[in-house]
Amino acid sequence: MSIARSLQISASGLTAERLRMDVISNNIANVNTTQTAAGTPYRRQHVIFAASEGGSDFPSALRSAAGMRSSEPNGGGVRVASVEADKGDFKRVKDPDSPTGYTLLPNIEPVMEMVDLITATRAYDAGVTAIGAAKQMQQKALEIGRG
Amino acid sequence: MLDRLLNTGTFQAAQGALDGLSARHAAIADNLANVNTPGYKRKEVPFEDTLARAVKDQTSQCTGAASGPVRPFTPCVTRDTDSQARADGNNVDIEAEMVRLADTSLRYETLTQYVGGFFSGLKAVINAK
Repeated sequence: MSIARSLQISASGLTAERLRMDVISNNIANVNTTQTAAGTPYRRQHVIFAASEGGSDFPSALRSAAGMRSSEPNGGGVRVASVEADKGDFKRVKDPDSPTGYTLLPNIEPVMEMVDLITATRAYDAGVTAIGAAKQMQQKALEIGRG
Repeated sequence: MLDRLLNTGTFQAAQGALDGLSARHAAIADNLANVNTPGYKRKEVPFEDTLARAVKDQTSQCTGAASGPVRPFTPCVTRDTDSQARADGNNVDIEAEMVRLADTSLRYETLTQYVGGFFSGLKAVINAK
């Protein structure tokens, strides 16, 4: 059932890109947040993707438990390995009212976030197209022997 | 009797090609899902040569047509490590993958039509219409 597997792989890509978009939205929303629970300004978050090589989903776990060798190449798809804080320096803005003379702002560049958002959207679109193609192929395969 | 009709080389070659194409589709879906994964190297499924060899082994010496059953073959997934990678080590080219995706679905649909036609022909003969 390779087509069902393609659907799962594409779905994992959509989930990952969606999470990336959520993190980017969070960064943009917090572009001026100077106070967090840690007392520092908000730190930019970024998502690290990793290719998932299988073994975690049910069919492959069952196969390995039963000692069976898969005829299909294992795994596939993408997973979010971690969401990490950007270690970059905070932005310093002059502020005469502050006792130190400046205010620290989050290390977020809105333009960079927008570019990342476009990249994520493009990858999401590509995944949707791949799902459409998989559905169409499956449909054609079901039409074999009809009529 | 049906075995003799269904185990022909051409029919099994078409079946093998459908398997190969759906494996290729899975590889393309994987490449597209990993377009933003650092260090990812694109997968490809070059099954044509393996399938051609499997078919050739069964080709009749006299007519050149595939006669016996084609040796079962499994499409293999390989990694493309030669293509130019981006700064993050990922070498997936989204445009090239979309072209391959379209190509794979078209080939798949062509083969489903062929296999479908094969069955309609068979049905017509059975019903003697």
